[in-house]
Amino acid sequence: MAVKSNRDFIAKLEEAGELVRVKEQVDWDEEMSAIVRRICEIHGPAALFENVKDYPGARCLGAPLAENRRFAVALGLDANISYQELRAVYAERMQKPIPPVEVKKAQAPCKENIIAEKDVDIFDFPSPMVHDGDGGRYVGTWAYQITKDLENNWVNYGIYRVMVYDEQHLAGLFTPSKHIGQQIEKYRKAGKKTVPVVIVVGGDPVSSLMASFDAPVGVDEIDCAGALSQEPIEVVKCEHSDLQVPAQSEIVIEGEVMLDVTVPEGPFGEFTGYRSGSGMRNLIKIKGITHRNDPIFTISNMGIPFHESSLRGLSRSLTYEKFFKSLGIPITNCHVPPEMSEMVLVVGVKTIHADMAVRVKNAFSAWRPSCMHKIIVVDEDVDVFNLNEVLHALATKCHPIRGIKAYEEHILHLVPALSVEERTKGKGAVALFDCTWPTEWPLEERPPRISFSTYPDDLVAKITKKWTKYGFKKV
Amino acid sequence: MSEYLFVDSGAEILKEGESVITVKDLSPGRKKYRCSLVRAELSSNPAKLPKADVLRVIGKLGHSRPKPWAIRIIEKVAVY
Repeated sequence: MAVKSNRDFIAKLEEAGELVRVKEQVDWDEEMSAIVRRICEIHGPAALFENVKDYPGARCLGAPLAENRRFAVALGLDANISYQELRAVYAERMQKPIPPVEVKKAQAPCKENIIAEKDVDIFDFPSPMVHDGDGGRYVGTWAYQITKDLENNWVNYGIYRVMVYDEQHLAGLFTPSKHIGQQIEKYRKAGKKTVPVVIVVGGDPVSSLMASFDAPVGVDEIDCAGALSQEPIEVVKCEHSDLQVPAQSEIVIEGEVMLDVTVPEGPFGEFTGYRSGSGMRNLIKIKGITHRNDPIFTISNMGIPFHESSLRGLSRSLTYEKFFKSLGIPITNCHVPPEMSEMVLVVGVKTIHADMAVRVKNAFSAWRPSCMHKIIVVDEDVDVFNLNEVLHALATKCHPIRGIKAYEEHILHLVPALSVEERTKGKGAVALFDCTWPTEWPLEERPPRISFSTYPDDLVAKITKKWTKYGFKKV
Repeated sequence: MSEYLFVDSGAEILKEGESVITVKDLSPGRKKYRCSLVRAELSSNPAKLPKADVLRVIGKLGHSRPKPWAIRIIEKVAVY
């Protein structure tokens, strides 16, 4: 059974040895986030900061889902489950979306404290200054936003960065290519001045994960969270709009995106591993805050992988795999290596006809744009989840001229390699690295791959079985 | 003497003389980095604006500019 709340998650992480309680005082101004960043880079446990400077009694959970092990714990699985097993469980559970169920206010822990608009002061919460050089403090690092489509009842959960402006205002980066940006645009075209929005800090881990993953347009992430949890997520109605929020949330900030008012936001260190630029973004007016008693804030620190965003590759790889297969492309597997900041897609194919890699690339471009802009296509004998094998194929089978093809097309502006002009104008490029043998090469002309797995099956089985008897450690 | 931070992203212009810009208050404490839109007298040469406060400047990607400006806030301006 998946965990239902941030607090249950903390208890389960502690049981699994995936959490450290930090009782030493830490400063919200960079120190706390720098610790989180180090945790990410050494694959360390999550941190529950229990002594935050200027905020007596406040607690912050850092790097809650910065590892696959903690993803497994969130789903109620063994922390030591393999990546492929985790991926299989995810794919299986996602077959059956489960809509949420509404509970009464009295049953919703997130309503234990209700702060009216006139009393709102966002500085009462320990929003961190995350990176040296950021443009401000971010209430939204591991927090998700909920918005509803104007034309239908599609409810979008998404994780977008949100900066603190003043006591009662925030500023969010809601780019037009993101679902929230598309929904906001509909309000603008309809002549609306505001868009109701909710920002959930300290949501249950499954809802938070689903907010960070890619559900297609029109799919409610909360139904997917129900699928992953194998039971409906309990939600409760908001105080200032008809939006609903998961009842177990720690802090719920209710507000309105003000479409006619912009303020400077950013820069901010992003999941790409680089700081991305500042610009004028819509102001968010806070209408009220509800929170649990002694709320636990959550923070992430994006940068060089691994971090919370790295888990998104799992869902993305399955999304592409499903899409390619729906087009009849003979895919073996897809993988988004977390080490490559979600910029690279590795696709294993059976090359049943010429230019299979180009067909994969064309299908890729038909899907919605993201930061992913390098596609490595490998033959079916390469394990796409094994980065050593993928890099070996890239190094040896990708012809420096014929194997690399570049295409000018739109990708998300956060890709650091883009020029200032490209970022501004929404331009970009995608590169295809074809690491498959050309189909016109006769079998006898294709250099056979040499590895342990290419020995006869019975010999491989025998050696594997006797490995420790030879005197080696178990692999 | 107070210190403020300005992000020179091109959205708001940093220029000599009077200007309306968004600054972040760097005073220590819970409200550090609070943003305000202000009308202020600005100078790249602190000697030309005696008894002014310090305005630290970073570029649009957060690179720190070596020399701070001087700022004398005239009034706070409503954002909307």
